[in-house]
Amino acid sequence: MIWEFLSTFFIPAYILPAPSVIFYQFFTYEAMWYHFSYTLYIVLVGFVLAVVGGLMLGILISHSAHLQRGLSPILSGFWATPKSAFAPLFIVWFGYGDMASIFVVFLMAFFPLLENTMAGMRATEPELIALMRSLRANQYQILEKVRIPKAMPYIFSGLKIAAPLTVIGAVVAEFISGYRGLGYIVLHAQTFVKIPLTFAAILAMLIIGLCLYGAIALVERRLLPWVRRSRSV
Amino acid sequence: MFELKSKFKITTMEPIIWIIGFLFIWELVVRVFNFPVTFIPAPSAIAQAFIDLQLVRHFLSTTYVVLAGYVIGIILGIILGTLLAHSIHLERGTSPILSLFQAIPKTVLAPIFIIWFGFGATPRIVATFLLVFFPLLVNTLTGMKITDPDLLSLLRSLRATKFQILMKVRIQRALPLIFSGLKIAAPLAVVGAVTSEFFVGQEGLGYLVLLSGWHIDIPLLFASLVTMAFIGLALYGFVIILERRILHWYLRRH
Repeated sequence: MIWEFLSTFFIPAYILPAPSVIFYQFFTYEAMWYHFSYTLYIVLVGFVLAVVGGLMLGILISHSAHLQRGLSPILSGFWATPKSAFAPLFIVWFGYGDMASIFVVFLMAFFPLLENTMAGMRATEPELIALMRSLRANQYQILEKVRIPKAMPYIFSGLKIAAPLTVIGAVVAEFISGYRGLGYIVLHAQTFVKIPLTFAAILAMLIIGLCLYGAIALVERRLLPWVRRSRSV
Repeated sequence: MFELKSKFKITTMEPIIWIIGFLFIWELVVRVFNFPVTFIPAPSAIAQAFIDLQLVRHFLSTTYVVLAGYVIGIILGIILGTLLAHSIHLERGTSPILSLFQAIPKTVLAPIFIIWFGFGATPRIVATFLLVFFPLLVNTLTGMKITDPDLLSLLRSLRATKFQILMKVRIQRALPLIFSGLKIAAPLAVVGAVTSEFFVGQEGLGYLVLLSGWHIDIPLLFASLVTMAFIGLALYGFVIILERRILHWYLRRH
């Protein structure tokens, strides 16, 4: 309310537009849906790839202590590098198209997922694994029945961390490749100093990020009812 | 004791061996299959790209932005976190606004900052600042609130003033969380600086990555990526050293 009031009367629209103006822009900008759905597509494809890759590699790595120790310096090197800075490299590799953006999204989401999967796989008590072995469970059964269910809460928190990052990845990549998507809208709006449009695009990003986050939270509640129960106790 | 020491040595040596092995295999694969430099340059080619005065200039520019944004973000984050921890009204009032801001992808705001602050270092510092600010604010706030209420009432019964309680107890209690905020924020500061450099002016490693991409100078691109990682890791390492100095009492117990 205060924002609306201030922006309507005191602050010019090119600095901070009022919320009503932003919503108006969001619904009336004719190309919004086109760019919105494109970014959504990039985000979803990249995210799914990252989930598959992160989980598989996380489970694989956690089976070998050597591999874990060996990869950790390489992973921390990646961790310290801004992932969005890979966008220009991917553009050289894959050209100005969907692939470059999808790969940036993938990189953004991949590392938190990998890290959380690895942490989750370590979460099983060694006693439980010893018990399973004494019951003649094979490696696969232990993985399926004990370790993965135990890792699930960690994996879901990784998904929640990754969800908003994917939107950032997509948009930054679109800034640089710059021909479609919400990132393009921001760029276009900047060139013509259409600040309300910039904010409308940010609103669209928020919507994608929040929807993704909400969907994950919903699935988590369905799949892992015990986590909530134990938390509330 | 001796055994423990030798074991320790092996585990600290192992990552180094892995890295050397990784770089060696990378070099070998590139040479054997004769990959074009535009695809993946060999580590030796990347190392050569480091001898470039361009890289040094952009490195200094980015380091300046990262440090300025990091320090301002820390100071304001801690101050505002402390203020919010002291007033329930203030916390309730600002929390919806803060959570809205937190949900906004802040790296995307860089183009707006150009309009607000022009093309100098200011928009880049502001973009860096925003990414550093929120983890520190949240962690300071949480850290201040975990002080045991019994301890607070004890101190009050001893006629400690609010300021004394803050300085002697609450800040001490909050420090571990503040340090974890500093660690979270270290790589984010680099992200903020580099992403804003994509848009703002012609300075910094973010710009250099873009430029080397346009020129298809992939060794230089890789060299600037490595330099970014170096800034982030150096900042992180500095925080860890500081934490060991200041929080040795806490780390010993946990």
